[in-house]
Amino acid sequence: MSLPIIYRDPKQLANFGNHPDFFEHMKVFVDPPVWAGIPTPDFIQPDPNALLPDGITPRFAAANRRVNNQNREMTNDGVNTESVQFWGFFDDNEPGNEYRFPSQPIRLVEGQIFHGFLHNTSIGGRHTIHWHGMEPTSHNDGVGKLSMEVGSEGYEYQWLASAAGTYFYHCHRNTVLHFEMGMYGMLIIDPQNPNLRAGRRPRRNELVAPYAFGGPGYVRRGNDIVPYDVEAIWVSDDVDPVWHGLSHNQWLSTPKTEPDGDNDAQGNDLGVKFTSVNRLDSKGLHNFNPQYFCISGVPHPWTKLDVLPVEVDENLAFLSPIPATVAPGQTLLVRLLCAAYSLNRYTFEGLDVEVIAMDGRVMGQTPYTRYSAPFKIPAGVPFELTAARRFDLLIRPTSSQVGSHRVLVEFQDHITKVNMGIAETFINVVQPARGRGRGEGPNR
Amino acid sequence: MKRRDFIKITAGGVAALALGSGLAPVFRRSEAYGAVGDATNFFLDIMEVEHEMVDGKLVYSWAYAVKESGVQVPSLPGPTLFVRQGSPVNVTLTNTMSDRPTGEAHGFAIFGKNGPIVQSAPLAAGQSTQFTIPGNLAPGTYMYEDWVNPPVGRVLGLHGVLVVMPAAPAGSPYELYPDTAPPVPGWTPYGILPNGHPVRELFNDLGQTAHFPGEPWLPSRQVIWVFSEVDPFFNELASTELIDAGDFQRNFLPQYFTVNGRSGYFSAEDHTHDTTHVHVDFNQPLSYILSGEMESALVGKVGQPILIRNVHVGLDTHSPHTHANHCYCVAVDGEVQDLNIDSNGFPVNGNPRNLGLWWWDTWTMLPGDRKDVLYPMMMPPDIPLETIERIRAGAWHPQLNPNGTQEYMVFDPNDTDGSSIEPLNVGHPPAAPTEFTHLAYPMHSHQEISQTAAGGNYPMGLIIHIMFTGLAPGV
Repeated sequence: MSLPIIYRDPKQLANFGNHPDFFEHMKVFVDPPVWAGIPTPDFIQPDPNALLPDGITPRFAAANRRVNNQNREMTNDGVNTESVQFWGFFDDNEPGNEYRFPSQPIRLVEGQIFHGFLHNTSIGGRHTIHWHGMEPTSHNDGVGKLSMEVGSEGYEYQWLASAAGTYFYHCHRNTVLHFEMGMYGMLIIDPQNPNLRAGRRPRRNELVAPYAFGGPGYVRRGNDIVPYDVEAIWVSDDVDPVWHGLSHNQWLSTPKTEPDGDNDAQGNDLGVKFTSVNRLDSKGLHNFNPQYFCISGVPHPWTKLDVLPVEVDENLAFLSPIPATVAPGQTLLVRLLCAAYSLNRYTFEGLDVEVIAMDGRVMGQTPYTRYSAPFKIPAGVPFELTAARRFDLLIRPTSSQVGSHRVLVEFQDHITKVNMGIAETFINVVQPARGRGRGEGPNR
Repeated sequence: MKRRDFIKITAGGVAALALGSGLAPVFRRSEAYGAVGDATNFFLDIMEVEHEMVDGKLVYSWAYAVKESGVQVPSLPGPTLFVRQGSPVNVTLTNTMSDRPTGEAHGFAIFGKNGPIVQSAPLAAGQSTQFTIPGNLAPGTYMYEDWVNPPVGRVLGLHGVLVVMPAAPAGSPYELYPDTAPPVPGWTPYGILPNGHPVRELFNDLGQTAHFPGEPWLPSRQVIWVFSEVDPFFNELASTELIDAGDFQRNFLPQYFTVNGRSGYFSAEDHTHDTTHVHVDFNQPLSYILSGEMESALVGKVGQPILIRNVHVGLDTHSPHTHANHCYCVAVDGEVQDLNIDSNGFPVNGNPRNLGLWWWDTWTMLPGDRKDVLYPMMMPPDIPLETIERIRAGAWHPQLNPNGTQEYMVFDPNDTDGSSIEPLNVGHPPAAPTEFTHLAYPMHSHQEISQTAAGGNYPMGLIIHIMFTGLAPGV
C-alpha cells in the first residue's frame, strides 16, 4: 500500500531546491569551510594602557588555546579504574596545564574586551570555540556552518564580556562527540570589587577582579555586588567510555564534491552522503550509555574525598578537591554547570540555597531582569538541570548547621529517566580554628 | 524539485487534490500560510502516512489530517490551531486508518494541570465522534495528542498544538488585531494582565524603553517549536502490530530528532519568508497552519521581538539553547509566570510559577512540557561598541538571497559608510572572506545527541536558525 508522504520540507525544496547553489548550501551545512589566516573582521587593537571607566580594570584581556588529548583514570567504585581518552583545550603559554578536565578555565572582568586565540589544531583536527552564553557577532560565535572552522593560522575570537556570571566555552564541531570528549572549560566573568576607587592603590588584602578560583571574591546579586568567601565550581558530567574511542569526525555526513545523480525521491541531489548507523550499535551517536559520573572532572566516588589518592592526582580536575569547606557566617558561592547529556537532579541536603543567577543572568537586576528576583530552594528539595544550563547559588550556613552536608547529583537516562548513576560531594560547615576565619574574607 | 515526480508518488485522495493547482497540497498556499477553519464544523481525521526523515528515509507514521472540502490533508505535527479566546470549536474526529491490530483505537485529548480539558471517545478504525474544544480556555499554548495507549500514538505522530489568542475587549479600538502596535495598553499574549504583573511589564517595555529599543511585540511575531523524536524500529513495528506502551517507553531509542516534523537543514532554514510572521487572521474564531507550511526560524531586525511556543511531544530530554540572545520565560505548561516571592525567599504558595521571568540561554524540555519564551531580538549584547557603531554606519548590509526572498546581514570589513554593497553569492555562509559574514546563529538542543540523524550526521538533528536582517527604527 502506498501512503501519502510528509516530506522533510516540501516548501523549501519547492522554492529553493532548483537553485544551483542548493547543492553548495547543503555541503556547507554538513562540512563548514575552513579558512586560514582570516583576520577578525571587526578586530579592535588592544591598547595595553586602556582601562575601563572604573579606572582600575584593564580594558582588554586575552587567552590562547590549543587542543590536546590525554588519558585519565575513570572509576565508578573508587577501586577499579579504566584509562579513558579525553580531549581538551589548554594554554600553551602555561605548560603543565594541559592535563585538566574540564579544560583550563578562563576568568575575566565585566566590561572587558576579550581576545581568545584558537591555534591551528592541524592533524585530523578541525575545531571551533563557542563561548556559551556570550553573544557576539556570528563570526566570533564559533559555529562553523554559520561562519567558518579555524584554519592553519588560527583565529582570534573577539567579544565584550558584558554581563558578569557563569559561562563556559566548548568546541562546536561535531559537538555531540567533541563536547562529550571534554572539549569544554569554565568561563567566569567577575564584577569588579565595588570598594575600589580609581586613583587609589588597592589596599593589602583588598580583592581585585578577576578573583582566584575558590574564592574569595565578589558576585552580582540583584542590583548589588556582594562578597563571598568560598567558591565551588561544580560541573556534572557523564562519560560513556565507548564514545571516547571514536575518531574526530566519526559518523559525520560527507559532502559530495559534485552532483552524482544520487538523488532522493523528489529528484534533488542534496550534496550530502548520509551515514547510517545501526540502531543498537553502541558506537552510534544516538546511543549514549554513560558509565562514569563526574563532578568537575573527578569521577564519583572520588568526588567525596578531601584528598585525592596519589595515583589519581595527575588526573586532576581544574579545581579540586571537590568538597567545599565553609565556616558558619561565611558565604559560599556555588557555580553549577550541567555538562551531562543525562537529566541531572541536584539535591543540597541540610542547607537552603539561594538562586541568584541562571545562565549568566543575575535575577532582579535593573533593567533587563527586573522581572525576576533571587529565590531560595529549601534544603533537601531536588531541582533539575539539563545540558549547558547554569545556576549560581549562595549558601550562608549558620553555627547551628556545623557538619557535613551531602550534595547529590543523580544522572537519569535522557530517554527513560531511569537513574544510571550518582555523584556525591559535601559542603563541610566547619568552625574555624581560633583567630582564623572571619576577617579573611573581603570586607569583614 | 520535479513536481511530476511528487504527484506520482503521492497516493490516493491526496493526489486528486493536487491536480487542480498543479501543486501538492502541502504547499499550495505558499504565500498565505494560514487557512481559516470552520469553528462550528471542523473535521479532523486520523490517518497513516509516511514521514520522510532528513536523510530521505520514509518512516511509517500516524498523523492528524484536516479535511478540506472532503479531502484529507495530513500534517505532522497536526495542524497548529489558532483559536480566538471565547470561540468554542466543534470537532468531528474520524479514524480513517486501515484495519489495525485487534483492539487498537486512537483519539484526541488536551490535558491541563488537573486532567483532561477535552477528551474524545476512543475510535477504532472507521469510527467517528464529535466533541467541543471549549471557548473558555485561557490564552496560551496547549498540546493535543492521542490519549489512547499513551504515549505511543503521540510519539508516532498524533500530536499538535492549540494556541488560544486573547480577545481584546469588545468595543475597544483594538477589538480587531491590527498587528501594527499592541492592541491596548497592558495587552500581552495572555490577555490584559494586572498592573505590575511582570509579563505585562516585559511586554510594555518592548520597543518602548531605552533597554529594548525598536518595536513592540506584535501578535503575528510568534513561532511554534514542536520537539519530537523518531525511532524507526517502533514505527515499522506499528505498521503491523499493537505496540505495548511499557515496552515502547523502556526501549525507545530515537535516531531522528525533529522540530515541527523536520530536522537538520530542513528545520534550520526558512528561505521563503521575511520577518518571522504567522500568517493567521487572529480575528477568526479558528485558523490553522499545516506542518508543511510552518516556519520555524527566527528572522527579523534587531528590535523585533518574537514569542516562541515550545512544546515537547517526544520522550527525550531536550535542552534548547539560543545563541545571540537569552530568552525570557513567560509561561510554563499553560500558566503565565508571575513574581511573588515571600520575605524568606520562597515562592508564595510554593508555586514555582511565582518565581518570575527567568532569562535563560538554555532551558529544559521534558516530555509533555510547554514553555513560552520571548526572544527579544536585541542587539547581541557581547558585540563591542566599536563594532555596533560600524553596524549602524552601514558596514553590515542587509542583502537578499538570489530568490529575492530572504534578507541576510553581511559584513564588509572594508566598508565604512555602506557604499560598497556587492551582490551576495547566496552567502550561506559567505563564499569568501570579503563577504564575511551575515548575522546568523543557531538554536539547538544542547543535549547534543539530538543533533544527529541515523546515528551520526551531525548537525542533521534538532536545529533552527536565527537571522538578524537589519536594524528596526530607533535601534
